[in-house]
Amino acid sequence: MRGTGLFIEFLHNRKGAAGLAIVAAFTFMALFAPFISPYNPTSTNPQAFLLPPSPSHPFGTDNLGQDLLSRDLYGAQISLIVGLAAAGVAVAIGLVTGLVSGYFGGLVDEVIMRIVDFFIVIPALVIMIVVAALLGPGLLNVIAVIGFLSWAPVARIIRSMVLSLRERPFVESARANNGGSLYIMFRHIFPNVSSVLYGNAMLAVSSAIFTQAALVFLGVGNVTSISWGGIIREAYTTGALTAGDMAWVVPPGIFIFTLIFGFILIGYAVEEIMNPRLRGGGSG
Amino acid sequence: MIPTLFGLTLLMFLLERAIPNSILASQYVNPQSTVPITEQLHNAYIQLGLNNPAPIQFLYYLNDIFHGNLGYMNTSYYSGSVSSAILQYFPNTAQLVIFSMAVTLVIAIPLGTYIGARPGSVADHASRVFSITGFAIPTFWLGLMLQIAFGKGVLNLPISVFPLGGVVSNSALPSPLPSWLLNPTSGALSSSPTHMVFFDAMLHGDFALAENAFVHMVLPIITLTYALLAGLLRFIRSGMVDSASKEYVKTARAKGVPERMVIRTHIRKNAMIPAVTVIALLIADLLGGVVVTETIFGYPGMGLLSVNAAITDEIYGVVGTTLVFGVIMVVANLVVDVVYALLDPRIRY
Repeated sequence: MRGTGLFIEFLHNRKGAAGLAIVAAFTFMALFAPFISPYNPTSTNPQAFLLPPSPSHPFGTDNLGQDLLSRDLYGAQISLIVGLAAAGVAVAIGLVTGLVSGYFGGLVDEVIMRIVDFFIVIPALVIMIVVAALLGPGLLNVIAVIGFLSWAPVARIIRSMVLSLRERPFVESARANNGGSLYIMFRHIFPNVSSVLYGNAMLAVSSAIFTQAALVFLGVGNVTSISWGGIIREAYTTGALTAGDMAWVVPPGIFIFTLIFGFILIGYAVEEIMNPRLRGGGSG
Repeated sequence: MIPTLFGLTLLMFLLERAIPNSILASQYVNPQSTVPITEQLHNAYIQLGLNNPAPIQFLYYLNDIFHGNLGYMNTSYYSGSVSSAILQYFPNTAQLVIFSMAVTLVIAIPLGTYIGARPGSVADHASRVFSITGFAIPTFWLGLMLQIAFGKGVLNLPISVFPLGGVVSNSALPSPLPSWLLNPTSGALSSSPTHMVFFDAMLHGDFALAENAFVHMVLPIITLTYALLAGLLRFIRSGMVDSASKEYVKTARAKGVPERMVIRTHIRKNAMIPAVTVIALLIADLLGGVVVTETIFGYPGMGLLSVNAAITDEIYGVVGTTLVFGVIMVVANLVVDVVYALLDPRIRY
């Protein structure tokens, strides 16, 4: 059972264990938000607006009297959904284009790489703002915008690995045994790029979480659902910030930071375990 | 370079034409023109080529771009042609970007060299922690935290000395306004010759105004620089570690070259070559950061213009600013390629 062994090794890796604990805590928070949050995050209370932190409202309330702790707990849902789904889209597109480009080479490679260059050169966040504003709010739109605009770096990395892998004897022997292109790409080459792919997938998740929060903060994307970026935006636009209302602004930022940090740690751990050359903390 | 620019204009064209023709035409009306609206609408259809098939429309579109006709915007923050809006907002962004790049390079190169020459040291571990925070802290939140801690009028700590936003304080402007601070045609506030207030004030010897402009930039620059620095520092460091293990370094040490010279001329010079390519990618991050940072600090640059245009559905404002951002990126990449070839004689294009 190679998979189980790797997982145990992952848990023994300090970075991996810490990252997994962080992500697990936020996943718990997202799944059980309806049960652990003290109030309904959208129920307004005109008698209790802009309350400072107190035992009944640990993070205080916002300008509509909504409990901020409850909103912060619910915010984990959007970050995790968008982060994982958008990264999934980006990694899937990046993997397939990278495999095809590297494996077939020639004109196919040339065309795909020019497209990749284009997506790497354009200022992604600016284009995302444009597309998200044109598409309008909605969870799927945000996932699509982030996913379709961040696959290029993955494709480039996978392609460069495939270029050298396809010349190896095991690929040659698979081809000699009449293995089809698809079979060779996914059965023989894919396992050899998977370590880098998983590491990059974790980094893609963290950058998708950041991008989603930034888009919502700027006022585009899924502004209507409860999210950490949205909570910070509400604090910013209502002037809570200049009033020094720390309990409104600080916790969602720390949550974003910690969750991103968790995924980065997992990404580092995955690369360390799957790539033995990195063990011992010599580089990176 | 040309395919990228072509791709970008095509993408912008497709996004723009996803919007109904009537809205496109109605937003192509110059709010400052005295020509009747109906006539302007009619002209807009002709000028945009909206009565033609899409490929022909694209040619019209390219023609418009080459002539600087990027359409018009009519909003509370700007009313007039998009190209004049860009001319007005762009210098402020340029000012921020110039300073941020300079600060990043001035800190990252010596510090990266220092750390890279001492892998595993306390400084190395400290820089690793700094870098991870640089990747994980959301830019916009960092900017807000800086405003809370260092901004005048929030918590009012002893360190709260920086303004919360804007380019210069009105009180710092000389009175009456000298001619170099006024736009000769419109009479609006606009400095010359560079249009960047800080540099213009320095050129005209108004150091109080220059200082004021600089103080307004400090928090935005820290916000922009933080993540950039984290990335570049790690990159230079690993480049140093890589090239320190090369044969020519062993040779240099063996023939008794002093250690400082080994680090400077043998290790660092070679470590800088890959770092140059990363700088092009960092400029992309920087432009993304500009959008967020300018919004937080209310700094009237291209980023703020593009966000405002996006949330008020000003299609021409959005497309125009995005095109400019794209052109900057493409040019930056070209410059980096040239510098790369200069640094490494083995590279020929």
